[in-house]
Amino acid sequence: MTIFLQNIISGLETGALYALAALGLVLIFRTSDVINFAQGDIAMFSTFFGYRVFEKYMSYPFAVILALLFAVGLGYILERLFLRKALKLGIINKIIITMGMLMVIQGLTVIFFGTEDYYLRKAIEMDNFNIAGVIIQPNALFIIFLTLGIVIIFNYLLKKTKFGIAIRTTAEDEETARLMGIPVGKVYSRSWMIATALGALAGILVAPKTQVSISMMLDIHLKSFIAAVVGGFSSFFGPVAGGFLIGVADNLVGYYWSLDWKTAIVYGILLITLIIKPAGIFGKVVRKKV
Amino acid sequence: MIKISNLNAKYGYVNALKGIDIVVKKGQIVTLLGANGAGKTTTLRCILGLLETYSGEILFKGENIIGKKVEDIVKGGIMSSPEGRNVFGSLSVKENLLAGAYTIKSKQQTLDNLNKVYEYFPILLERKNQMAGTLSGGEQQMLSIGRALMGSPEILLLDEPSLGLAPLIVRDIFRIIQEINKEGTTVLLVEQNAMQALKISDYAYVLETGKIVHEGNSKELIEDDKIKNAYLGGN
Repeated sequence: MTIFLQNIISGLETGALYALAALGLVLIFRTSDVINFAQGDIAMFSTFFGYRVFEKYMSYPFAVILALLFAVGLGYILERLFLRKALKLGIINKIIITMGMLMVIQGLTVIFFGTEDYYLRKAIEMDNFNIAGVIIQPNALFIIFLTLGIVIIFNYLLKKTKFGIAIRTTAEDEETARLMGIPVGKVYSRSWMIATALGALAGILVAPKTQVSISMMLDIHLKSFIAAVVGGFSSFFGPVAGGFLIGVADNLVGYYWSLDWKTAIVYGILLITLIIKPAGIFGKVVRKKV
Repeated sequence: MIKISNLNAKYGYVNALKGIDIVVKKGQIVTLLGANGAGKTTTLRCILGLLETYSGEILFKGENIIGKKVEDIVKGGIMSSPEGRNVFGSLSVKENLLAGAYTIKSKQQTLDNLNKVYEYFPILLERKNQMAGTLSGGEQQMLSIGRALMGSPEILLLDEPSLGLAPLIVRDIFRIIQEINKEGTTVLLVEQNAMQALKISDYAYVLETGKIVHEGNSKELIEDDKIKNAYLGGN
C-alpha cells in the first residue's frame, strides 16, 4: 500500500506538469485553431531566461516571475507577428508556422544561452517527510497543488467572467462571437499569453529533474500532446485529466508490470482507448460550423 | 438610421451585390425579400463588416461604417441574429445571453436587459441553465433574438428568423419582433416568408440576383400583383 501511494504521488507530480502544458496547448487550439508545436520550446527558452535571472540576482521568486512575464511577452509577440496574419489559412499552414517558430527558438537558445546544461533549484527545498511510511517530497506536493489551484482558477475564469465567456464563444463559433462584439483578436493573444506562461511554469518546475537544457521539454511536450488527445481536444479539462492519468499510469505500470515495457503498455492502452473513443475520454465530437 | 448607397459585394469572382440602395429609418421595420442567393444575407454581412470585398457607402447614424471592425460596428449599436441562429450550443441559455451583453459595461444594464429578454421570451427563463444546443429550433431562434437584444441595439438585424420553424412558432416570433420594434428598436428583417414579413413591416425591398427590383410600402407590396405572383404564391 505504501509503495502504491508512493507511485501515485510521484505519478501525480509528473502528471501535473503534463497537465499544465496540455492546458496551454488546448487553450490555444480551441480559441485560435492553432496546434502549437513550439509550445515546448517557448517554455524551454523562458526557463533559460529565468535561469539567467536567477544566476544574476539569486532570488528564486523574482526569477520565476520574470520568466513568466517573459513567456507572456513572447506569447503575445509570436501570435501577433506570425499567426494573426495566417488566421484564414488552414490548420496545416499554421502547424508549419509553429514548427518554424520552434526552429528559430532553438537557434536563438544556442546563440543566447549556449549549449550547456544548468541546474535550477526546486521550488520548495524542504526536507522530505514521512507519513506512515510514505515518503513525501514537499516540492512534489507543491507542484500537484499548484496545478490543481491553477485548474480551479482557470475554471472560475472560464465559467464566471466575461473573458471566460469570450474564450468559450470564440472557441465554439468565432464569427458569431464577433457578432456579439467580442474582440476575438484579443482573445487569441490573451490565450497565447496564458498558454505560454503555463508552459514556462511547467518548464521551471521540471528543470530540477531535467536540468535547464535545450531538450528539457521534450518529454513534457510530447506527453502534453498525448494528454490533450487522450483527454479530448474538444474540452478544456479533458487534457488536464489526461495529463494526470498518463503520469500515474506510467508510474504504476512501470512498477507493477514491467519497467522495460512501460511505454509500450501505457501508450498501447491509450491507443486502444482512442479507437473506442476517438474524440478522447472526455471529448465530444464537435462539428465546427463553416 | 442606416443608409446604404451603391453597395457592391463580391464572393470571389461572383458579384453578389450590384449597386444596391437601401434606407432604414429610425423606428421602422424594413424587410428584405428575395429568393435564395439574391443577396439578402450578403447585405447584412456587409453592414456587419463580415465581408472584405465590398464597396459603396453604408451610413449608420450618419457615419460611414465600411471598413470598420466588426466589434466596433457591433459596439456602435448594431446587433444581429444570424441565419441558422448559431447559438453557442455548449453554453447555457443564460451564458448565451450574457455573451450578447459583452459590449455592455454596466452590470445593472446587463441585468435589466436580461429581465427584459426573459419578459419577451419566458421560455428562456425556464431553461436558463440548460445547454443551448439542447433547445428546440424555435427556442434557439428566440435565444438568438434575445441574445441580440442583450446588447441594447439601436437596430436589430434578423436573418430568416422563421427558417425551419412551425407556423405557430413563426407567428409568435413575428409578434415579438413587432413588440420589440414598438419599444423603440429599429429592425431590418431578411425573410423568405414574404407574407408574414410584409404584414409586420413598414417598408420592403425585393432583391433579385444582387439587384433591387422592387421597393415600396409593405402594405402596397402585399397588393402588388407582380409581388403576389413571385413571392406570395399567387392569388
